Amino acid sequence: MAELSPASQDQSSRPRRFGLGMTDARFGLLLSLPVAAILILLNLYPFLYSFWLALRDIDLRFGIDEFTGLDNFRKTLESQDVRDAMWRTVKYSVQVTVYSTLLGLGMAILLNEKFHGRTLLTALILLPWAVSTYAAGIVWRFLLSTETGLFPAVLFRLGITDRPPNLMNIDTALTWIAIAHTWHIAPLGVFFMLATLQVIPQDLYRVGRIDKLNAIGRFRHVTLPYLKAPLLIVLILNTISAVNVFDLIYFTTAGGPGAATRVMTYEVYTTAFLNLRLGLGAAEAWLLLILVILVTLAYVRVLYRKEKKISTGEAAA
Amino acid sequence: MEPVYVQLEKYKRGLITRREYFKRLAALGVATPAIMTWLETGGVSAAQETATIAPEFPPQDEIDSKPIVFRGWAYEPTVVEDNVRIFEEQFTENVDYQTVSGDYDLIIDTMQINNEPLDMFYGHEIGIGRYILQGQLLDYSSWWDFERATAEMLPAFTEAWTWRGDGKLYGLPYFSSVRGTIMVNTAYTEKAGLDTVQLTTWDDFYDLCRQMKADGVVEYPLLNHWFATPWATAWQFLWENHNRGIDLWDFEDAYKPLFGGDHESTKTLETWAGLFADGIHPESSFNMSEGGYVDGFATGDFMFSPQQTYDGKRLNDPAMSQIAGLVDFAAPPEGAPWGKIEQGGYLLPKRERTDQQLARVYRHNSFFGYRDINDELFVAKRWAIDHALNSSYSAILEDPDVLAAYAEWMPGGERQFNDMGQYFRQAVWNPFHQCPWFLEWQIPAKEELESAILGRKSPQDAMNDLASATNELWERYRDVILSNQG
Repeated sequence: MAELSPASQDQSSRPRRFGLGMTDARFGLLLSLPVAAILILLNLYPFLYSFWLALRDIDLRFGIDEFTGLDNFRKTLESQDVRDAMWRTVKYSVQVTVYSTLLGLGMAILLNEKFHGRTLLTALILLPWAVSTYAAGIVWRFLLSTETGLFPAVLFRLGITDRPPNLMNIDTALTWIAIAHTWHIAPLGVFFMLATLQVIPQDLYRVGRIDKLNAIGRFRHVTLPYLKAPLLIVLILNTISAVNVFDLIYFTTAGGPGAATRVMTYEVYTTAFLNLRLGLGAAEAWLLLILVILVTLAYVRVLYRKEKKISTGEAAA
Repeated sequence: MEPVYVQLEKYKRGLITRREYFKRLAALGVATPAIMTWLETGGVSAAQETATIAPEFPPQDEIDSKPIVFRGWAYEPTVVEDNVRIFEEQFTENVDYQTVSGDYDLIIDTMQINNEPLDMFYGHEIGIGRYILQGQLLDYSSWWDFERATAEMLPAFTEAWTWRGDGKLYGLPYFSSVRGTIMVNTAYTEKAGLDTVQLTTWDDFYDLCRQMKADGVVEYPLLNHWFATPWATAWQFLWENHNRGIDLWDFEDAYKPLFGGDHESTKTLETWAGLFADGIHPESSFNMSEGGYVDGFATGDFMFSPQQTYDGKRLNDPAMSQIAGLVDFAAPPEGAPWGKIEQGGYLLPKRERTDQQLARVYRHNSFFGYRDINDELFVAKRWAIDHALNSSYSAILEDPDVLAAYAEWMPGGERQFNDMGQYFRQAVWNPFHQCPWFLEWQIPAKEELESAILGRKSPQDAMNDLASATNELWERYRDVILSNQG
């Protein structure tokens, strides 16, 4: 069975024309211009300014301000602390992206079914996303605390451990924060994907049943083609959210134990805002930015390739 | 004799001469030799050359139109607001008081760097080094009550507010404490058959912890000062080595680190790692916030913990602690320091001010950090009685009203109060606290020390790595520090 994507439902391939003789693409561009202009203004200046900072040794606390060229970038790349923080960021981002995307997908599929209490469950699932990151951090710190936390107490009371365990130890702290992060952001993905699931024509599922597709087959050949675009958007958002994590770590472990949860944003915060070494901090932030850009480009490339494949398939058909 | 401000009022109304006014100040112990010199020379322009300024204040319309700007962290702001109100009433003053929420030190640093209007802010003694290096802090030497006030403070606490570079006082006490005061959960000492816990050395104390574990008194005898806040583990490392008589720094060479893998301090770290490896201490402390650390001890899971002196009240409060009424202090060693001095203070930012404006700020800051219009240690005593915040003014530590207030929550009564006094009188100040890169140092210190405690690095490697990171800081800032310390 061929993939039944939303694109294949489009009956017209001719560009539509609006007033003033504009194509819809040009009209769309025109509508985007004000937002684009504001975004450029708000982002371009800090973007260039941070690069200028990165070329200087600026130490506010000691009144140092000297042009040092690319020295901050060299120090950043040579720093073992930065390399360790970067590796932790990658590990953390992979965990958060995988957990939150799978959880979001699962919950979206569940909420797409008709059952009693669905509305209430939808509201409940949305709640973690509505909670501030500060509150989420505090709540999870208390949930995981060995002395006063719910999870260790439950494990202890059920007799799984002989005393309330320390869940946030040097080996597991990063994973627990990733779980807390997943709890916080997964609802966003749920609503992206649920919105798409609800517009999939039910006829396609009936066709699938006629073609003797089981549930997995229907998911793969009917649901997934529709979900590809929102799934990729959710992946990008979740990944960027994970790479940029700061407040959740700040309010739960403050980078510890040892340096177990000191990810790249925490490293930048320490250098730029605790130590007030703005130049070095800016260079570290640029490294983080490059990581975010690379990941986003990779996702966009995947998305673009898929779309190209789809449109090529349509042309061939 | 009537207080200083009454004398000033009389002088302003022409009831007494300027000469008589200063003579009366001298009789009150307020006037410094510089004022007496001014009197001896007939008062001709000599006052301009004196270190002490006169308590003469701007006209009321200027006071009404330009408030004194006071910023503090958000501890009991309603009490502070009330103190501000009392000050305003006593002196017909005008104060703009606000709390700073968020990352307090960072925000104050930024206000200082930006030269924002500010007349008083809370700070710790560990912060004065960097403010002075920025040229943004004013000392209290030209304050008319300077000599009288410093004479009333415990010397080590005064020394902590005194910048090594110029010997001047840069803070008036807001609260004073001994961080590292050993709290004892007496439920366990009773179980162990111990009447009192007398401290001698850190090694003996840790041996006692091991004994308690071996005897099955408690699973985790110790909750050390190892929590998530960046400075926690680093501070205990500093004070414990200082208590042990181990020198970590060359103070004459801009705080050059003396430690490394083969230094004596590595043994301290080995001892710590041993406490963790042998199950004397839990791992969970490394995720506790500062408040969580106090609450952790309040659960009753631990026998001993080095805490702030004033947290004894919180730990004995039934609303906040599961071991209320059971938390005593271990008796400090005879004649030897234990823990570290910790102080909050009223700091005075350096800004453009006339002498009258400065006098006004001194009057304000000294109301909070010294005496009120009735010559009472009003604010310090209020904090001590209501919130158990101690003071470096020895009169507060000996005040019967304060003792009565403390006796309400101290299970050890007067004996415990006296033990607290002994912690204070024997406390020492670590000159490294004035190191301008103290904050920067805490970050690698936390990482390396915790890695060693948790067994991820050998203590030798951790100390070598910490020495390496510290040397980078020392080399970077050496010249600027030496040029400021003369």
